[in-house]
Amino acid sequence: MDELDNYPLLLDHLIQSEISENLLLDGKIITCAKFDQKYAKNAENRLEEEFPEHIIGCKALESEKKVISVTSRNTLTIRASSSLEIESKIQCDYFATSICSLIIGESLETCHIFFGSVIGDLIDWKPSEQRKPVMRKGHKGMIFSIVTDSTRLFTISDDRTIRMWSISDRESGPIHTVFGHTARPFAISVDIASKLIYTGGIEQTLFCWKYDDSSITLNQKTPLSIGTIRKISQLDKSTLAITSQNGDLLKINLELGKPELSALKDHVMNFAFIHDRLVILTEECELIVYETYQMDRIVFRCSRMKHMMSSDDSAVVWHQNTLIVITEFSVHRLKLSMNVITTICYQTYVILKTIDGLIQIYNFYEPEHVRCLKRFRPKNPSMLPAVFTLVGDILVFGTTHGELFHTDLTDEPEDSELSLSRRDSYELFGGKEVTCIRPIAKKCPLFMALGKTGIWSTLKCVDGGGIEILNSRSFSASSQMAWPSKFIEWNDELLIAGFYGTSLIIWNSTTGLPVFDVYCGGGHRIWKLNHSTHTTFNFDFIRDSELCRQKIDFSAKQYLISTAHSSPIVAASGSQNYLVTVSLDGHLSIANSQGKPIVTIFVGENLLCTDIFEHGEEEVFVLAGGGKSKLSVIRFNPKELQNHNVFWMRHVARPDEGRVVAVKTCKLRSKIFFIASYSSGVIEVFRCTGKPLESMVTLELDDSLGIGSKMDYDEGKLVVGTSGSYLLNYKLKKTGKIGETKRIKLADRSGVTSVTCSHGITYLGCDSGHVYQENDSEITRIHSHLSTVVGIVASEDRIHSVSLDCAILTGSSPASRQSTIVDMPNAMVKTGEGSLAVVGDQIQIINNL
Amino acid sequence: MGKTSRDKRDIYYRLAKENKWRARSAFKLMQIDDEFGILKDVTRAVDLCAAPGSWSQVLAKRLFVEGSDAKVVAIDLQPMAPIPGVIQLQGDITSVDTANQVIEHFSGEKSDIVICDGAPDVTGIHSLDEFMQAELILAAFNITSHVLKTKGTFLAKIFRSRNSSLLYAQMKKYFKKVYLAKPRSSRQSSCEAFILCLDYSPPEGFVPTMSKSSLELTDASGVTADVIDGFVTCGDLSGWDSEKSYPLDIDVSFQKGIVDEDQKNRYEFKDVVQPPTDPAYKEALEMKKKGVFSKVSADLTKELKAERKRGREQRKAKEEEERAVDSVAEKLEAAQIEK
Repeated sequence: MDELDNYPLLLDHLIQSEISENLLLDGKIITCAKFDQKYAKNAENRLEEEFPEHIIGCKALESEKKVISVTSRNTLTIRASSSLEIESKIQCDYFATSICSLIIGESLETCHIFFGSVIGDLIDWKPSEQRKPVMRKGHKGMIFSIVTDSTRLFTISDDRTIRMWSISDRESGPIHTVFGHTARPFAISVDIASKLIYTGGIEQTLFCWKYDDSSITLNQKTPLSIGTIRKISQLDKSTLAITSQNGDLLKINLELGKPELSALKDHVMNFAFIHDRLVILTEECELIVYETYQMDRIVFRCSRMKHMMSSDDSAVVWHQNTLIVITEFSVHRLKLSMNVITTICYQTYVILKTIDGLIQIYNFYEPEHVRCLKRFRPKNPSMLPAVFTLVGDILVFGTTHGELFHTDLTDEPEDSELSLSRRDSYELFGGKEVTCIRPIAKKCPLFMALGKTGIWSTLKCVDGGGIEILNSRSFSASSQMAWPSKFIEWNDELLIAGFYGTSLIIWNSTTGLPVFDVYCGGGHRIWKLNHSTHTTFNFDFIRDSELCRQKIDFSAKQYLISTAHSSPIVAASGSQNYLVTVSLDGHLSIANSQGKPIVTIFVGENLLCTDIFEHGEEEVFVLAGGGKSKLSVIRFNPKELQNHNVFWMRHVARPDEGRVVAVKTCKLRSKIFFIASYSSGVIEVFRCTGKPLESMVTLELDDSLGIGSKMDYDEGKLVVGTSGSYLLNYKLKKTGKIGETKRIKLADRSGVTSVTCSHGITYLGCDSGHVYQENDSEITRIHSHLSTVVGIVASEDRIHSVSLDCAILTGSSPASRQSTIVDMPNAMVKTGEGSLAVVGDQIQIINNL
Repeated sequence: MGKTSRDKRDIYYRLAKENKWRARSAFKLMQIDDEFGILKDVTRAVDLCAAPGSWSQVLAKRLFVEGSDAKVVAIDLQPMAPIPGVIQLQGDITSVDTANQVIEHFSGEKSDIVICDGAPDVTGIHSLDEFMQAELILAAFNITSHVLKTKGTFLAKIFRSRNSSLLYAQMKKYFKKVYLAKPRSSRQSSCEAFILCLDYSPPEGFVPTMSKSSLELTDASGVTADVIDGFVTCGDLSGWDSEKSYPLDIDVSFQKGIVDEDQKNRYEFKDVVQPPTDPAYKEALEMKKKGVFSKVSADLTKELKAERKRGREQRKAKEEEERAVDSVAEKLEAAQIEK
C-alpha cells in the first residue's frame, strides 16, 4: 500500500469504491467510476462500463479466476479476471436503486450479496439459489454502507442508526439498533479482532463503538475536521484510513493515538523544565530544583515559596517580597521593598508588578549586575502582564485584559506605550488574555500574538515606535479549539496548542488542519509541551496535584491532502505565479501555479469569489468575498510569504448589501483600486491606501439590469456581466469614479455567468450554455455548452470555456471538446505560463490544451 | 432552509411563504407556464413526486377555474398534506398499478400533461447523484408513457451535469420538441433546469413498459448542444431576481411594481408552510431534542475520567504493597543481622 502514498486520490478511490487491497491483481487497478481519468495513466488494463450503470461493489473470486461486480440496478456481472470480459449477468428481482453492497463467499456457488437501497431495504440475495431476494426491513432511510464480521452484518443509514443483523437467520430483523449520529453518517468499518465499529459522516467526527453478541455501545468520539467522512477502512491492525468528501485521506495510527499516561511526582503545585533541570514547587511550598527530570539529585532547595511562573528557559518563584529567579545559568534571590502581586519571565528577563501598582522590568543575564531596566506605573491600575517577548530591543508584553504594551529597552526608563488602539486591541483579543507572543525571526521587526478568543495575528514594530497589525487570523468555524495557548514550531511549520473541552488540541496554522488531539481531563493551567524526539512530544501537566506525563506522537495522524479545502471550491483566480481558490467552508488557499498550497487562510464562511493580481515582483494582492457581506484584501510580498508566512490582511463589511458576488483588482497607472459587486446590485470602488480601505465610489445598478454577477478589467475598462443579461462597460478614472461607456442587452436572456476580456474583446458565458464574444458592440456566438458556463479563458489564439456539463470547449466551428476530471467544475482560470486550472471538488491543472 | 442569512433574503423563498406556497418551486412552474402556456386547456394533469405539494397547488390554482371539470392526480411515496380538489395517490411511480389507478381516476382517459419536480436525496457523491436523478427521470418517463396522451406534455426537473445530454437525446425520440426551461426563480448559479417535452409522439410500435430503465444512448461526447430545441429563460427579466438581495423591509405580498408604500411592513420570520412529514431521521431528531445524545457524551467523559482515576488508585495500591513488602524484607534483614 505504501507506493500508493504518492497518489492520495487513488488510494482514496480504492477505499471509496470498497475495492480491497488484494484486488490490485498483477499490477492491475480496477476503479469503479467511468470518468476517473485521473487514474487512467496508472491502469494497464482498463475497462469502462457504459453510463448509466453504476458499480457499487466488486470482488475477486481467486479460485475461479473471476471478478464479479454489482450495480445500483441490482445486477450481478461475472467477468474473467484475466481479460475482464463479461461471462454472464444475473438480475436480482428487486427494483429500487441500491447505493451500497457487500459480497461475501469465495465462489459463485456460495456467493451471497447484500444491497442497501435508497428506501432503506437491506436486500439479502443468493444469486446461485434464487432470483427473488429476501428483503430485510428495519432502516427508515437509505443505507449508506454494509460491513460484516463474518457472522453478522452492520449497516449504517440515513435514519442515523447503526444496525446489527444476523447473516444466517435471513428472516429476522436487526439484532440491535443504536442511535448516536446527529447528521448523515456515511461510513462504517468493523475491527473484528477488537470487536469495535468505527463510523463517521457529515459531523466530521469518528465514532468508535464496542459490540458483543447482542448489543452495540458507544465507546469514543474523536473530532477530525477533514470534511465529511465518506469511507473508513482498516488498513492493518493499527491503522485506520479515513477518506473525506473532497478526496483527502487521513491515516490514523490507533496505537500511537492513545498515549500512555505516567505520573512523575505527587503533591506538586507548579513545575518547569529549564533545559535539563526540573523545577518543582510542592504543595508544602518548597521549591526544589533537580539536576535532571529523573529527580535523583537536588541542586537547589528553598522553603516558604508560594507562587511560580515559568517560560521555556526560566522560572520565577516568589512569596511576599522575596523573589527567586532560575535561569539556565543561575539561581538568584532578590528581596524587594514591596510585596509582589505577579511576575512573568522570558529568557533572562523578568517583569513584575508590586502592590504599589508599579511595573518593573529586570534582566538577570549577569547575576552580579542585576538591575531594573524599567520602572513605570500603568494608566490602568488593574493591568496584569500575562506574557512577553523581545523583538530586537523592543520588549512587547500582553496583559490578561487583552492589551499589548511595548517599550524600547535601549531608551530611558519610565515609559511604556500601549501598542494598539482600544478598538484594535478588542478586535484581536476581545478583552481576554493574550496567551502567547512569538518573534518571527531574529533581526526582524515582526512578531505574532495569540489571544484566548482564538485569533492570532502578525504584528510589526514600526520604526519610530508604533506597532502595526499586518493581519489577524482565526480558526475555521468547524475547528474545535476553545483555548489556544501556545505557538509551537515543528517541522518548519507553526503549530498552535490549546484546549477544547477535556482535550489537548494541536493545530497547524499553515494548513489549517488539526495535527493531534488527546484526552487529558482538561482544565490545566500549568502544562508544558517539549520535544522528545522528532515526532514525539512530552506533554507534562499537573492534575489533582500530581505531575503527569503523556508522550504524544504527531505521526499518529497522517494527512494526504488533495486540496486545502474541506468543501468544494467555488471560485478561483490565477496569475503568473499563483492560483488562489476559495470554498464555502471559508478557506482561501494561495497555491503555486501548479496548485500546490503555500498557505491556507480561514477568511470567513461562505466565500463566493476571489481575484489575484501581481503588482510587480514585490507586491501581490488577493481579494475574496462572499455570503457574509465581507470583502477581504490580502497583500503580501512573495518572499515574506514564502519564508515566514507573513502577509497583510484587512476586511470591510457591508451588511446591507447582501453577498459579495464578484471582486476585481484594477490598476490604473500606478494606482490600485479594488472593485466589489454585491447582490444588492451595488458596485463599490475602494482604494488601497495601506491603512484600512477607503471607499471611493458606490454605484447602484438599475433594478432591470439585475446584479453585476461577473466582472473583468482590462486597461481602464471595467466589464460587468449582469444576472439580467446585460453587458456593461465602465471607464475607471484616476479619482476612482466609474462612468458607464457601454450597455448592451443580450438576446440570450439567461443571465451572464462568466466574463473575461482580452485585447479589447469581451467574452461572455451564459446560464444557457452559450459563449459569446463582443467586439465593437457586435455579439457573435462562439460555441455552446449544455449547461451553465462557469469559466472562460482567452489564450493567444483560442477561447476555452468550461461548463457544469463537465466539458471544456475550445475554439469554434466546430469546437473541440474535452471532458474534465472535476465532477462539478465551478471555475476555470489561467495560471502560470499558459496552464488552465479547473476547480470544483478538486483542482485539475491542464498544461497543454 | 434556515431561518437566517441568505434564505431570509432570498426573494422567492419569502414570496412563497407570504403567499402560502408550500415551496418556492411553485414560482418555477408558474413562470414556465407563463412562458409556454403549458396549462392552457388542460383538463387532466398528473403531478409525480408531488410532496410537499407546491406544484399541485399551482395546478389546482390554474386548472380549477369556474366551469372547468379539470382533474389533478398527485403521486408520491411520502404522505402529503391534502390540497382541496387534488386526488392523492400514495404509491410507487415505478409500478404499473399506479399508472392504471391514474387512468381510472381520469375515467379511462389519458392525461394532457405530466409534471415531475422530484429530485433524489442528494448524497454528495456526484456520479451517484447524477445516476439517481437520471433514474428518476427515466422512471417518470416510464409512467408517463403509460398515462400521457399523444401530443401531450411532459415537464421534469433536471440537473444539467456531465451526462444529461443523453437524457435530452432520449426524450427527443419520443417528443417532437424538447426545450430546456429555466425559470427566473431558479438560481443562475445552480445547474437545475426543467426539461420541457412537447407533442408526445412515440415511435411506431412503441409499447409502454415499466421495466426498461436504461438509456438507449451511451456516449455523451457525441451529443452536441443542438439536441435541444432551445434554452428558454422563463419569467419577467425585470421582475424579482433570485440572485439579488432585497432589503428586508420591502413588501413582498404583491407582485413587484405595485408596492403600496403604506403597507410596507417589517419582515418577520414566518414558519414554513409545510414541513417535511416523515423524514428518515425523525426518531434520531427526537432523541437529540430530548438530550439523549448529550447525556451519552457526558457519560463517556465521566467514564474516561473514572478510568484514569481507577488506574491511579491501582498504581498507588501497588506502590504501598511494594513498600510493605520492602519493610517486611528490611525487618527480616535487621532480625538476621541481630541474630
